[in-house]
Amino acid sequence: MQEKPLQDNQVLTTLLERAGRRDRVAFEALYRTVAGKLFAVQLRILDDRSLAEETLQEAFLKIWERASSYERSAGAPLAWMIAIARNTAIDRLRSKEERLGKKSITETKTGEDILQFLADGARGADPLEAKALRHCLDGLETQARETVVLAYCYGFSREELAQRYARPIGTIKTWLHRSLKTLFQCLEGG
Amino acid sequence: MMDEATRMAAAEYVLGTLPAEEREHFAERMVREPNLAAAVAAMETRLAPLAASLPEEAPPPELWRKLAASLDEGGASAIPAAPASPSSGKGPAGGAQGAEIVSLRRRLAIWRGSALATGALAAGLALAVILRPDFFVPPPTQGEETDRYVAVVDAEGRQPAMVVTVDTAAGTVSVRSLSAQVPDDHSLELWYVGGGGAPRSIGVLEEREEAKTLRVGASELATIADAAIAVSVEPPGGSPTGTATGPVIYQGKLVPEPR
Repeated sequence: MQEKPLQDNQVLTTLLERAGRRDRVAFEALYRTVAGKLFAVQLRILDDRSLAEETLQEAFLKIWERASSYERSAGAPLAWMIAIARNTAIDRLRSKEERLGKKSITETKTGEDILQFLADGARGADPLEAKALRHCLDGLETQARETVVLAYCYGFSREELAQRYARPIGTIKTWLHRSLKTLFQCLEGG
Repeated sequence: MMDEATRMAAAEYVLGTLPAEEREHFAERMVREPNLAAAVAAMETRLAPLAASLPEEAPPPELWRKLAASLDEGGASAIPAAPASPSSGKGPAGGAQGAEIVSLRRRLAIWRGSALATGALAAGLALAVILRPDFFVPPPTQGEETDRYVAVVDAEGRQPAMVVTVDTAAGTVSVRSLSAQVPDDHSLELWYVGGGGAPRSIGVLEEREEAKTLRVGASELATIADAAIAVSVEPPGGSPTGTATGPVIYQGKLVPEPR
């Protein structure tokens, strides 16, 4: 059966707004619905289950606290919650000197699998937004695309990207800025 | 229009590559500058499909319990408890601790041949069943709140649009629609499927009705551990025949998780 993301959005929005009015049943339903997504996002970034469990709780506490300030104009509810989950995980990652002995991640990951998920028609993602993102990522050079995906999905820092591509950090920063500029120009251009 | 340096900082904040200290400063700036926060939110939305497309990973089942406990700690005095749903005497707060997932199975077998209105219904509707577990498991050691069981059917990634609460102590089933999707000219009928017998009607959620409490007989509750609850789409007022005539859109098997 065909997905109906708009309808799903409406349901998520309803749940989120009810959670904002301190409706615990709605919040629990919200948790049951999106926890798997948010956990997946954080797990990729942190590469550590117990740490991701902590940040998942932290993210949901923030969602509970901020639900009343969620506005439909701020974007789709899933994107809003994903941002909270990602930022929580990245804050945690950056508060560490290094990745808990998970150096191998910078050597092995390419992000190809994630681009494939996106290409497969992401379930849960807004199809129009997903299409635009796919199109604009495709417009980047291979390496530029890879740096964006690795940073976004695996939480690669500038240092880790520098290590990965054996380039100075300054070069990486320049790459990132160039890639992001092109990417957002494309995305905002529609 | 923000300057280029700010724009790049925003983009790198969203991407996650800002170094820790700059990241912290940027986050502080967002609190003071709503325009900046809005620009960041817009960028986050643009990139979100990359995260949304990741295959889901199930967090451990006990995580909700911990989360609910910290909600209680953090918000017991500052945040009023959630109002009980209009139909339910039992507020959610008392049972919020220790939810367990019950396995629910979506049933699509007789979905074919449905009318348009019910097609729209099926696309968005999923079912959550909340069960007070004191019926199934020995009473918890003293001092603990009783648990309840929650499940959200999200087969195919669908979202819940209805919460069904089975209160075995009170012998009630509360139905609450979260998105008011009972279609025009239809009712949703709830069925108790258990004990090997024919499904028995528990009650009907009328067109546009949002919430309702239905009574369940003691004999039915006695076998609830082996039972399922099904929801079918029926003509207004419910099935004229006493058995489901419309498509059964969901069937949830109520299986408590072993501890």
